[in-house]
Amino acid sequence: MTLTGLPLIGLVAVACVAAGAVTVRRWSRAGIAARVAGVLLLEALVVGTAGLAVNRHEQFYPSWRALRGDTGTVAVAAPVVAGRLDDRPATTFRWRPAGLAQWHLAEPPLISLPADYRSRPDVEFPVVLTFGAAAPHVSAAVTVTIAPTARSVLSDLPASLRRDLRVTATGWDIVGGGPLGDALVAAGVGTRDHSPADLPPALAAPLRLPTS
Amino acid sequence: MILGLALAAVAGTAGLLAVRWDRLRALGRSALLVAAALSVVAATAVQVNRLVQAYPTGGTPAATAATGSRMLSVLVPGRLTLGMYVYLPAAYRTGRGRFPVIEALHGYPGSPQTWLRRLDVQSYLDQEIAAGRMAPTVVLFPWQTPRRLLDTECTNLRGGPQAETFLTVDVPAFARAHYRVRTDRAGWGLTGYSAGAFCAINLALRHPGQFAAAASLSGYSSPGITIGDGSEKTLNNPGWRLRHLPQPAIALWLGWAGDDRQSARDSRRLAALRRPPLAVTTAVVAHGGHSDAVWTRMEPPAFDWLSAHLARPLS
Repeated sequence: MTLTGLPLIGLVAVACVAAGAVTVRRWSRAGIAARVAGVLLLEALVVGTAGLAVNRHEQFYPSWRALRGDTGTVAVAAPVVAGRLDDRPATTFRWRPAGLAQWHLAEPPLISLPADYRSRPDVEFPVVLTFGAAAPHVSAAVTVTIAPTARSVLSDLPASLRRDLRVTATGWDIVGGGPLGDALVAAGVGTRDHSPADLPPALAAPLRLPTS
Repeated sequence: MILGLALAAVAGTAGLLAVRWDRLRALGRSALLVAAALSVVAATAVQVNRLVQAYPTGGTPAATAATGSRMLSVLVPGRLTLGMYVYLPAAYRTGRGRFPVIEALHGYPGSPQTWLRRLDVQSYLDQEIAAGRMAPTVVLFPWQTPRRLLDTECTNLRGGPQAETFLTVDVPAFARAHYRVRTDRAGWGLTGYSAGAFCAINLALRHPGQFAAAASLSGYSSPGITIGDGSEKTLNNPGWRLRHLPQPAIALWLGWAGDDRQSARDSRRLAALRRPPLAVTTAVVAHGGHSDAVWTRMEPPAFDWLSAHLARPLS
């Protein structure tokens, strides 16, 4: 019998009426204990009927398991996966991933890792992606400097960088780059020309719930 | 304690009915019946209030936790003068830095104490910050109405309390003046459960220059009240806003329980209306209805997500 169904509400309501009728009919002959029991039972059933009706209308607890506090779901943290280049000793280097040629850049991107990149293997760092001029060093962020050409296409650069380094999927700071930078912003990777102080923090893998 | 007294009154009136009935005339019997009915209503009201904390009792909860975080109780002056709880993370004690801020809004009926007592928010915030999944953040828990049973939905009611102004002008000004917090939009976010979730979505859409992100725990796409100027159908209706106005560059986290029909329908509708530059992340728990169990399940992922979408603490 469902918690919000009419059968349960009907059953409790009928029990309520029956308890009321029996209590009234037997009242004069009943002992004190029976009278008290009858009154309390009647009161409990009145409250129960009203509570079930309100809950059916408002759907606070749509099922018995909801009433028990069972949500059937746990939030899980996907572990932070080490980047392929995490064992690289240099903190500043030219990045030469497999798909580099398809990006049509003037030269391989220049990457600079924050000072605490190696001492915090359990966190992902946000990215400052700069076109043209070398990116200034930013604390707790990976900086990537791109030298684009007229033919450059960078749509798979974020995914490629996430394979090679522990960087976030979103929250990047995109500096310059015209339409190339705009395309990354439109893809939801980051925002434009913010101060490095506005970057999100470097965080451990978040707890997540399933998406719809 | 109060529930115990109320239950004692229920038992007492039942006992009096049983013992005294035969010795009383009509007037006395009627009075006893009324007293019995009132005791049942009172006990029910006390228990409902225990669940929603609309009229919290028992003094100030929390204060300093073993983790070093603090929960302060303050009075915020402004167009409304209302109470507020302020969560200061353990890192605040270092005396350095400016922290990002989250305004956490309560449901209706409800109060800031619902977050503290029913949703155990201080423990969850401590836990997520200690695990490194959330940056140290100052979290504000303001009242949203001067009258416990007046549902403002965080709007400026025509001829009534100006809740929106209080929450978007007075509360931020108070926080900036009294605490080491970030003062820019990138460092401010909103969250809320139930009506407070509607508030978080609506205020973020209406004030994208003040808030960068909002997390909705079982929210709605419309306020469900009459504001007095018809704006519950237009400018204070997130569904209408997403359909008819340019969407702002903010990020929304929409969480709901699969069996919470209205919130699920409204949240899905909002997610489907999304256009760039608005960003939407959805989060679903299988079941649990519209209840504390669902919101406590959603708290850690919602706070983690918010922290990842807000600017970092300034050292």
